[in-house]
Amino acid sequence: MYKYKFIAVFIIVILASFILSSCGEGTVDVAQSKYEQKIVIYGYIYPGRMVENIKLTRNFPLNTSIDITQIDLSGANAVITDIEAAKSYKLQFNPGKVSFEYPGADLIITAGKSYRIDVTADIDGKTLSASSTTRVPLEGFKIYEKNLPPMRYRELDSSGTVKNFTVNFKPSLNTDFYAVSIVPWQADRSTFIFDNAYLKLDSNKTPDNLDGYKYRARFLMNINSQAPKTEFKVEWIDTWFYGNYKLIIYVADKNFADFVVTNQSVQEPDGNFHEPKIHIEGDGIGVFGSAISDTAYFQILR
Amino acid sequence: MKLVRFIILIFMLYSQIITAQSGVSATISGFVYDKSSGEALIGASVYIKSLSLGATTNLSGYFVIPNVMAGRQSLIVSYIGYKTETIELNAGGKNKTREILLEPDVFQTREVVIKADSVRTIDKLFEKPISKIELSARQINNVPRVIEADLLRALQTLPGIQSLSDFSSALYIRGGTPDQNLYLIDGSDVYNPEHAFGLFSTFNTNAIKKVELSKGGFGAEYGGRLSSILNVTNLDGNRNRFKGDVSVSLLSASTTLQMPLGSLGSLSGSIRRTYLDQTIAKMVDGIPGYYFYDGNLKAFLDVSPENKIVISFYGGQDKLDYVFDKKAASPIGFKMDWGNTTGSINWKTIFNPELFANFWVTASRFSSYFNFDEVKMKEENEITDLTFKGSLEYYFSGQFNVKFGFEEKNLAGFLADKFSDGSVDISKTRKHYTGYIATNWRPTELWDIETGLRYDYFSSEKDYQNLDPRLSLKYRLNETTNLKFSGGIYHQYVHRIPRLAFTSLWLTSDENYKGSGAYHYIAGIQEELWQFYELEIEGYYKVYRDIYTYNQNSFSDIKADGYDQNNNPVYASTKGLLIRGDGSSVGIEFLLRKDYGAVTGWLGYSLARTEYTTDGLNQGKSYEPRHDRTSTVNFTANIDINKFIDEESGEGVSKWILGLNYVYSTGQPITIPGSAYLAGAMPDFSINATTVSLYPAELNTVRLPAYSRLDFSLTYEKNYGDWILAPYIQVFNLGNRKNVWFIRYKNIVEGNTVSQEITNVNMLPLLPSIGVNIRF
Repeated sequence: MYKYKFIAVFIIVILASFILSSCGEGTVDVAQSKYEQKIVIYGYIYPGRMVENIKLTRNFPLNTSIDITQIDLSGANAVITDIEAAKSYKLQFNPGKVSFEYPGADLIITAGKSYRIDVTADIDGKTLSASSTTRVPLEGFKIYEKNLPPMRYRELDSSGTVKNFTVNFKPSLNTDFYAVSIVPWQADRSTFIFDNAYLKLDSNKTPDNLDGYKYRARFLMNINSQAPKTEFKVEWIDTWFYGNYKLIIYVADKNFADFVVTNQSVQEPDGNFHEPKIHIEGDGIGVFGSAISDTAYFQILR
Repeated sequence: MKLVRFIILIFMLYSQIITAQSGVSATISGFVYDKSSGEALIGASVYIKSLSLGATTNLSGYFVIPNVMAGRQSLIVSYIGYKTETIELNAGGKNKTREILLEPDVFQTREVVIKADSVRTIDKLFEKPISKIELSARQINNVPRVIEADLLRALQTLPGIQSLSDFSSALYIRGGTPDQNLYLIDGSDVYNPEHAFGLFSTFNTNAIKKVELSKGGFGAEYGGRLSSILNVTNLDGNRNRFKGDVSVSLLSASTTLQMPLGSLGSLSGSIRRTYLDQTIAKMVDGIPGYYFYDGNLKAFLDVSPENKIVISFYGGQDKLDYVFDKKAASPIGFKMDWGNTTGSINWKTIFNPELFANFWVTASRFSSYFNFDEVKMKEENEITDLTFKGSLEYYFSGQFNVKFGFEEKNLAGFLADKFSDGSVDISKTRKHYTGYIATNWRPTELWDIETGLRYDYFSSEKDYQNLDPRLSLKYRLNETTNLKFSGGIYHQYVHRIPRLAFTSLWLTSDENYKGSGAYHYIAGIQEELWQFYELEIEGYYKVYRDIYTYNQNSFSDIKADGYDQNNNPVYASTKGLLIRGDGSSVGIEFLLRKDYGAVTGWLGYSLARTEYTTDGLNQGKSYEPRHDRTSTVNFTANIDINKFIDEESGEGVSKWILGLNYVYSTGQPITIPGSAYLAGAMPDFSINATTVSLYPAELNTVRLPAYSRLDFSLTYEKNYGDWILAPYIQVFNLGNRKNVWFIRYKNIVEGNTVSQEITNVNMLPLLPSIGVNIRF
């Protein structure tokens, strides 16, 4: 009998220790992740236009409250170089736009040419530098029909198939990546399509994260840039508001293309993060890209 | 084939000469079967104690003891869970063939009293190849489970075998990834052995006879994968009487039926189907219409004492019909189907007692289908494998035997994707030829030396060939201790792209991707403790060359191979999808196991480290992959409470069985963001506090909290004549520990100020379930 008592006590002790160690909650120590200061370059240049709206900021550590008006690198030294002309232009900070620009008329971006940005800035007492080069896409791109006929939400054609807004455009030679931005003019509760085909939402409440429904980014990749015409169909899953929409198609250079494809999907389905594809050398992240853009308009009727 | 026939002929002639010359000696051979069911017993020990000669039954239950001296000999036949049988026979110069029937020992507690004629635990351990684990269906079913008994989840309770999360039954063995494991079901390859997006495996445990898992260092008869071989043999069928099992759990119902086919053989079949789609999904909004089913059918045909044919079929299918809003006027959603089908015909033949052969024709098909009409997205994927293979075993003497074989594998696969602005159209066929030879030599009772050589020729746009040597040494150090060593080179020519929400895709070596290679070095010690405990300690070192992982940024790397009539890109190449790397794993494992008595189970510990280096990742520096775990403790126990309280109690009409499973492991490595920055997805999108992008820190340098879990099961078994009713309750994660799977960041914006709210995404909570098993 003594033997069984001993065994029973032993089992209870083991079980108790197992139960105790298999209760509770683990906490991830995010402080294990090391913060490294980086210059953030975020800017695009367009042929036929001046260099403007180049935002230079710093990255910031997570799990802290950051006032985003305090992260601009207004004191940074930023230079744009026309590589073929081997001529550099110093950018100036525009406090009104909170971005850098070159106000002189002697630098107008040209299609097909390469430009490099070099940035040096002091962050937390460290002098950092970053650079990136973009090759501006070639001309030739245009949207054929800019004002599309209006349509009701998920309107059906005569055969009962759901129709789509379709934008036809002429590709730019040798550029096979096209980014598409779809933005409604008025995006609020009054225009939100509650009776949509995808999500059941309470029509008495404003949906959370309205911007998440408002801004839709899509892309066409590896298209035949030699073809005279390519089409982009607007899927209904990309329209969540009634009213007018602006659809901008960008002919994107490699920097722009890789950034737009990889920047928003850095977390894998199993939760792990991976680096986006960024073409910035040195202590920098972000994008310095170039593009040609054209705009189409459409309207979803109630 | 001509070469194979020639070799067989030579061996047959040679064996005739040997038999003629020997005169006074004879070969004792035969099959060992379960007396109650007629099932062949794999790995049973057959031993002539007076001559210190012995053999182990192979996968067909066949054994050979050549060169047995004339005279009366006692043949001791033993197997775990069966009464040891002693057969007296007179080896008077004539070859003897025996069919030996072992009776299941229902009074297992009495086996703790080791009988004089029993084969000792240490001898059984000596017969077992290094790093090999064997489990029976009973042992698999006894491991507390996530609702449904599952083979792969049961294996995850053993040292050296990791899971990535509670949601996955995939096996990460000694630092290898799941695609480095070869899954065989009755000789057929299974490519994606998963149901329910990996939550369960495709193997129906009620249909399983035997599971053998080699965690590394396997012999030349196996290849094609870098890390492990999981060989599942299904039930041949009861050859004596009609027998059945019915299981009903919260998830599924299944049945397995076995019946004799007169003197011809036997038949077994099983079928399983989940029914959430018919129950909860009809009552609760948001639960998708999902189910899976699978079935096995196997016929064992006893054509003659020398010839047996086994025909096996497996089919399984998952079906998901997801509707976003069932109450919408015109509901939209997507459909997904996927599944495996395998079939094999196996001819076992005894050319003469010393030459045993197995020939197979196997076929395996995995296919998947996805259709989301609304966004014009459709995918069809298929991989088929038609294999012809042969394996021959020639027993020159009790000390020396040779195994040799061949394999011709015909692989075909296609991936057809259609989306609104492009398509994928990849179709490939491959051939993989293999030949191997392995010798087993026992120069003395103390030594067992196995050498092998495996030749691979893989034909694709670029051909690959490799010659892989293998070596295994076993040494009896003393009465209770064995030492073992194994090493070898291994190659693999298929590479997998794991997809969490979709089924995995398989690519093969070609002009873009080389054959992957691995070197295994394993040393182990086995100790018999207190007569019936097995202690195994193994240290291993593995080196990987040219292993491939999915390129997470492949979208920006792939290029079109052509255009369709609408000028949309057509992708026909796999270039850019995978990135190459190297790696290594080192570790030591301890396994204390007990298979007899009122308390059975195992206690395991592993200490390991895996490092990968991948081109273009982590600035070329090495990193620990997510499945790396420094320390893991496993404890699995099954307690027959009635026997535990009263060791001498017989097999009563009812009993209680308690099951426990405990696992503790170091947290897994993960990459989390190191910082955040402002950027828009598009140039015209406004940039403000809501447009915060996350930038990852160094790859997998953060460790999640330690993982810990206790599972519990209680089964009540009651006999009603030939029927056994066994209702059970299972509790997965009894302590409801919130084991972290990963972390999620949410930006909290107040005016111009932004901060992040970090939330844990946890694995499975406490999950109780009930069910019942009925056996008759």
